[in-house]
Amino acid sequence: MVHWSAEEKQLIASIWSKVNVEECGAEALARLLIVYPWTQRFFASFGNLSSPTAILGNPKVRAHGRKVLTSFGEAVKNLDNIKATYSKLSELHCEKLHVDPENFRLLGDILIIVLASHFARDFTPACQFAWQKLVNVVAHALARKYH
Amino acid sequence: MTLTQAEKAAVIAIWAKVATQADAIGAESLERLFCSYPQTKTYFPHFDLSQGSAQLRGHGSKVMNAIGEAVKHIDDIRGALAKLSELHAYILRVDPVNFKVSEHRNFQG
Repeated sequence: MVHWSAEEKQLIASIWSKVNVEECGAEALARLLIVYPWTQRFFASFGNLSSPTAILGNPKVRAHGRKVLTSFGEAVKNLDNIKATYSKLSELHCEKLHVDPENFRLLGDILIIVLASHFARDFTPACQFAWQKLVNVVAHALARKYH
Repeated sequence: MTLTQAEKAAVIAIWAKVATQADAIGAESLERLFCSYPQTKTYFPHFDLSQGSAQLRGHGSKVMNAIGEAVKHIDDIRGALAKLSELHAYILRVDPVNFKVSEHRNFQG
């Protein structure tokens, strides 16, 4: 089980309370598709992904980004039980979606960048540490049920 | 990062022996890959991955042939594998983490 200090929990909650899930989610997913273009392989049905501008403005990307970050919120709400929280989602990503778990790490790192760019100085090194730990735990939980 | 002359000679000598059992080795390598690193199976949802399957054997041969090409052009491996690199990057879109020999993150509970 992951141990969170009181300070880490507070830093995570404090940043999360100020996150616009729709905007951050959309941006994180768009950046993933732009910066690591092979990740577009999962989104053939999303329409125009032909340029960064197209990706950033794509409504399906935005909607899906929001969905993903909303789900991320479950981890924030259940810091002491992230493994169980993502058990079913892990199975889904393996058995139905066939997503390489490396993508969870990539998206986690992208989220850190999005948070840093939104919160600037407020995203202190201590904040970054706590959030890096969180995205790593989430990625691990999502990969856990792969078989 | 390049191979020394001695290293190239060693590779070529070993490969000569490997090549005689290329198909079997190729199939077994893939089996072991999927067993030890199940996340690599996500790139083959369309394959029958059971032991001895025709697809596994066929794909194993393909991979071994490609390695053989690299060995044949051991002085310019980058050039020899350029087309395959493009294929994996732009068409197959395999995450490059899967090409690393070491540093594989093992997720088993």
